[in-house]
Amino acid sequence: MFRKIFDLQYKMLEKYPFLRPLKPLVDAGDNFFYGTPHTTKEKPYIREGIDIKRFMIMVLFAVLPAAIASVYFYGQRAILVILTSYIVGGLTEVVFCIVRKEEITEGFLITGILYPLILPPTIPLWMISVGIFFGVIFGKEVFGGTGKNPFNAALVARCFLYIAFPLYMTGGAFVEPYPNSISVENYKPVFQGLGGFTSHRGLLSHEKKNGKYEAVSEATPLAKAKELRLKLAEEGSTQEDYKKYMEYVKKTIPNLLWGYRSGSMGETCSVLLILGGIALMVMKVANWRTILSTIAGGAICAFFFYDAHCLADRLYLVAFSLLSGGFLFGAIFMTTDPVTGPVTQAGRYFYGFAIGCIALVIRRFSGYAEGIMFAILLMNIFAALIDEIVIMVRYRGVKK
Amino acid sequence: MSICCAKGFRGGYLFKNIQGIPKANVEEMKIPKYVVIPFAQGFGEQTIPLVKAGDSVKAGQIIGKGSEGISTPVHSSVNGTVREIREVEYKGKKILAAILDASASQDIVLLEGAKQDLFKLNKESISRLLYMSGVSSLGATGLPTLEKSSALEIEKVKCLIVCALETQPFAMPTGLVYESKISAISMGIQALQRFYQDVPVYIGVSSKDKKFAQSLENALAQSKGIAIKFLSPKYPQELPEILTESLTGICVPDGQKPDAIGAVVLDIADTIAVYEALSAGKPVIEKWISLGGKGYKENKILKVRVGTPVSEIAEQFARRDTETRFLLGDPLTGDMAENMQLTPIGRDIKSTSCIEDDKTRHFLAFLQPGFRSDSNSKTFVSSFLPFGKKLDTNLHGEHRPCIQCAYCEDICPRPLYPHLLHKYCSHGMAEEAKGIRLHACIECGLCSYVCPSKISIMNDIQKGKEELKKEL
Ligand code: SF4
Ligand code: SF4
Repeated sequence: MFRKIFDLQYKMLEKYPFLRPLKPLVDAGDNFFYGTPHTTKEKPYIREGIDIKRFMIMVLFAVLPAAIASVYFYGQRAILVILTSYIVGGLTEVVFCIVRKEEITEGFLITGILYPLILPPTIPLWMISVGIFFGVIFGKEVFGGTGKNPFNAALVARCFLYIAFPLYMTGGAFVEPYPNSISVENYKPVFQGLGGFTSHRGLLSHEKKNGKYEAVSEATPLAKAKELRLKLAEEGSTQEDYKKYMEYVKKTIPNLLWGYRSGSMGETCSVLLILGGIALMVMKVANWRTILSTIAGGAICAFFFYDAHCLADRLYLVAFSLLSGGFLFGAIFMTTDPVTGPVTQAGRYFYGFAIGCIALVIRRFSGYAEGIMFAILLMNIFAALIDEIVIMVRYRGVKK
Repeated sequence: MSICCAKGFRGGYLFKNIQGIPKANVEEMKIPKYVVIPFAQGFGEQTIPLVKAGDSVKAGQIIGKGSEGISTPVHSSVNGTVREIREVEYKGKKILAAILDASASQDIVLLEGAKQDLFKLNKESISRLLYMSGVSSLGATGLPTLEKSSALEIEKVKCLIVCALETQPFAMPTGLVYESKISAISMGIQALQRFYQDVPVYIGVSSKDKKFAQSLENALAQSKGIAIKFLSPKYPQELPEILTESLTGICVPDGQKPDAIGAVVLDIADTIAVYEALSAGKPVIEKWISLGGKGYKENKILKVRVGTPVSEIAEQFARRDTETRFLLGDPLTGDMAENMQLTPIGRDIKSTSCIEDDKTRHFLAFLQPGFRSDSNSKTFVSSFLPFGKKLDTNLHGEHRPCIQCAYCEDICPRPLYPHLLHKYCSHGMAEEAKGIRLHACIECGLCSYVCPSKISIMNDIQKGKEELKKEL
């Protein structure tokens, strides 16, 4: 049955020459549903089973729990947001492929879902469209499509929004999750109900007439912690302030783990992110070197950057740093984008470690509350340089 | 003497639960109607034909001998007449070959001067027997004799390496197959060791073949300087460069064969040929080859005459109910036989593979659990369950640009970046590729096998090497 649809499409293409430019689209659909009939033409004559589609789909599967969690915490609006991203971004990609007469590749499957998950839940739909449009064009297509892009398209899109519409990307844009989702008591999660699954709060637009959001604005834990810490640094801070700070940190960690916190849509539930990350590492789809070195870099920097009175407090702060904000999401799904990272395995250690460090430096010493996005984009630039150095060191003394 | 485990090598891939592994039973194939004898088999250049069309020949008779450079005589493997002498394609090269019409007679002309007690032979007669029987063309770079039969001179031999394992996807169970031949193997090895002035001998045995290694050790107990080592059965352990490094610990320089460090590398079957040549004067006109892959009706070991055209083998043993593809050698390094009627089993072939030519399209292939798919990544159910895995010629995906997943880097047995080599070589920058050790590639084919973008990396590398050769 399904097969017939494609056969019909091919027939149409033959019949009406003006439809011919659409061939990549039909090809892509055909290949998507029915694997390839091609056989090997060059040595070796056997090839293993994995292909790019499966490779990408596995990332999709790994991030899916986080996507579902975003619906749970922020309502059905999240579905709409993801769909918008897929449709607008997908169309952009398809148009480019048709113009360039290239095959449509699978890379967008991933960008399309990672991008909305790193946005605040209140983001207007038109803004998502503008962002992904910009991201796909300037993050990917101008460089020649998937496989040649030096920057992570999803992050380029977010960065663009961050700079162009800062009001919608920071501070008040973050809202509380549904109160009837999860609460944490005694470090254990307690399910309160169906959360956002049954609610369509602010489905099309989150803004009410007077410019207020429908939900309660809530600063992200990172921003709050930063505020408390800055107060500590002021003159005349007391032991009380320190206690308050540590108490907040300790109280928030379980929430960070189970997802009841304000933040970008997909970053909330750390447990699901970690599970996804482990699955990816076991399947060898994501490179464990990058993930673990990013986390190591972040942990070591956090350990030395945040002053505390005793070791236990320091460790709490480290855990807080790793779990809060987009750090885990970035480390697991963004740094491991193989195209934008270094191409050498040794380089991946440096790359990840540097991302972890830079993210923490930005968090600690700059005005921004979160730094993982800039850290990854920055290291995207240096990935090629890292490779150059690794190769130089490894092949020194090899005659040309 | 004791058996120890040799050091492993980086990368490589362990083929597990592959369907179509040959069983240990050996079957003799009838003498074919005609044979194709290329004038260069194994190591060495093309020899000068000594026969012409219409001549009658005997099995074991030398029909080609001598050349400008390194060469070893070539024998007729059947009794019959020469039909014609023409050019054929063999292992990717065009060379002259004799087409012989065969009769059914089994007689073989044996060489003179062989002694049942092969340790009584003197150096000159061993050398002559090895050379005249064709044994000296076997092994990675030939066996050095007093004649010009190998890249290595006889005085420069530093060690002898015997490969007693197979690690390719359709690896034969070496231990079971050669169990009955242990005395021939051990005598062959001992004779060779003596011939090369008591050089050390290393025998690499798969760590799964414990029993075989034990019996080999018992048989060789009296000799000194023979080390049997267990090797992990990870592909490409059996390729000469890797084998030499694992067993001796000395690296083979980039782009060179083990002879560069004075190592003579032999397959275990070659040691039997040595024994038979020295003790009975038998030339290399028979060969044990393995039939691997689901394209065969039955997977086993076949005893064939050298020169048997592969079309005969395919006709008798390949499946008829499906399209198959025949490969000369193992599926990763083997060549496709373009013209099956004129492609022979040479004396240096030890395996053939016949795999299904799978052109079917699978609905939503990338979502299927994949019970029968083999993969380096663990994205298939088969990675976690012991199902027999199938290898076929389907690409299992579309060509895509490289996404730098580094699977190829992880799997490469040499310290290389195959994706970078591919990038340079496919853009005509072979000079650059030289700087990242293009010549260290030993063409094992694993990188192309694992690439999810279905890039023929090895093919690009080979092209790059050829380009460099042309420039010289
Ligand atoms: S396996 Fe293929 S896609 Fe992956 S890095 Fe190597 S060449 Fe690129
Ligand atoms: S680059 Fe050469 S040695 Fe490395 S995996 Fe590929 S074919 Fe094998």
